[in-house]
Amino acid sequence: MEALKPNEGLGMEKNITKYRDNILYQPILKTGKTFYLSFAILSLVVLFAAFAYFKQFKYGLGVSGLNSPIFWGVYITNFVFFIGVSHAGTLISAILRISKAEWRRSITRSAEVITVLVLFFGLGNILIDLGRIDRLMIVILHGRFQSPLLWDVVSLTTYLTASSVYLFLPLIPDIALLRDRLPPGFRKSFYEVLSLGWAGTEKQIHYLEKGISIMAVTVLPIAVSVHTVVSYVFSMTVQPMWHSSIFGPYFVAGAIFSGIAGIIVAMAFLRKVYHLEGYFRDVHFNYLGILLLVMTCLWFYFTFCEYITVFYGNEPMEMSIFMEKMSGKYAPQFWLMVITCFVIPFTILANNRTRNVTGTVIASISVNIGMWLERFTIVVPTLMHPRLPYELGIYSPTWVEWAILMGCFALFTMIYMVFTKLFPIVSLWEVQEGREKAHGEVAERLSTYLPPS
Amino acid sequence: MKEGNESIRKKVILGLQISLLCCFYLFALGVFTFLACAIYRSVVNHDHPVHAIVLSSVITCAFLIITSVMTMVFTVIIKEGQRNARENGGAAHEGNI
Repeated sequence: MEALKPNEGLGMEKNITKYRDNILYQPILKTGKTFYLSFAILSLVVLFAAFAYFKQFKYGLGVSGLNSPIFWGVYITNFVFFIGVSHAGTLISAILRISKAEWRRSITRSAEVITVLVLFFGLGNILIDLGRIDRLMIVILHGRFQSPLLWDVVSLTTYLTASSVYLFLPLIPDIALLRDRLPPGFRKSFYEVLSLGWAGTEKQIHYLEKGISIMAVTVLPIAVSVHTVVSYVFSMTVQPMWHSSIFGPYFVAGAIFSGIAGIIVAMAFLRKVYHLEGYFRDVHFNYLGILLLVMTCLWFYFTFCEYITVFYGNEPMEMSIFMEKMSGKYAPQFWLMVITCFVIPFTILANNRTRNVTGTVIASISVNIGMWLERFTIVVPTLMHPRLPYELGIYSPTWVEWAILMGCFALFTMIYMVFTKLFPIVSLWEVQEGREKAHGEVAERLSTYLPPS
Repeated sequence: MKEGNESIRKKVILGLQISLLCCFYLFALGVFTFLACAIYRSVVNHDHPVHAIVLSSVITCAFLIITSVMTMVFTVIIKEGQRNARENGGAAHEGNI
């Protein structure tokens, strides 16, 4: 398989721009002023967030809006949101790889990177929510497996490990290409270490493909279990509107929903900035748009089921929270969530004419805003009216929490940008492999399930 | 002199590649130790050990799969890379230049 062989040797680095996919090397070889400017602006946001965190670390969680009984707010919302977005890589890459969807080839890498990065931010928000970071040691040294919080710790660790391995394995042939094509220097040595001596021999190809296939199958149940376990943090309590048996699938569906939206936004960003129109084509946005439309409907169905059950049951504790969302203090967030998660994406994506690149990106941004609000309206209103006889709580996030939220997004963007400067954001060998053998394979597959003519 | 330096460089790179795998083993060992401690604590304290045993078994299975994949891929690629370099009498693709 030629695609997996780094076919040019040392000394060919001058010819790097002559390759067919040379545009994919451009971000690695050249860094423009815009990159540095964007990086500087984002650094300022991150510094401001670091200042906010320092303030919280020094003065305690009192500087945030968290109080008794509303002890979970923006940080836990961020945690659930980021873990949800992390499903982008799993869905796009693993499911599409297993189902042999050929259109996945140029979009898998950008999705897998999102998965690994946002998981760190999900975990990071938990540490921020702890207040004192040293409390993490209490979880490690004295954690009890009866607590869903510890289930979260272990399932997230497993997911992060599996996702990282799943990101690294398909990177190896591309790192070898860079190793062989870059001029001598630190970066070449860096790629030399990471490429593990990849030479594209039959045995290496066989074992790498085997490894990728095993990881694709392994990472799927882990991903589903992760968001199910995240939902258990809420549903295993007897708090009103949390104690629900559909929370597991509801959270998983929401995670895949926000994950697809996340990858569409990232693809649009990469396409625009690095001129990758040839790799992230209209058809990719169209297919992902259709997937997003399906998930929009599924999300609406789950939300409807969840709320109609509460309404029909008319249990007083649950109704107080229900009414708080419908017409109370959190009504603006709730209705904005309905508009951004269902009305806007459904209207845009259900129409063939508006389901273009711009339309899909608008719908995706809308979904991401909506899904963050959904997590917020799940976490906070219930704590406002807990089952135990606390006084009614009021929660308004302070500038510290907003700064940290902005800092998370800025730092994520910065790390993503750095990744694109170190590794090809489109899997070179998978694209090449698609060119070489996809036509034949697809024709053969068609002949296996179509009736003979 | 140049050959000597190149040989040392290759050994350092190989050492770093093997250390990557060793780091992963250390991390996996940490996870297994954490799980074993959690089971031990729950058994000693009569604190519903079944929870700990069931959940630890699931996580252990997942980590064993990941560790096996890492071992398989790393060892095969590194060994083949070394063999290929030896056969070509130098770096992985010097023979092609």
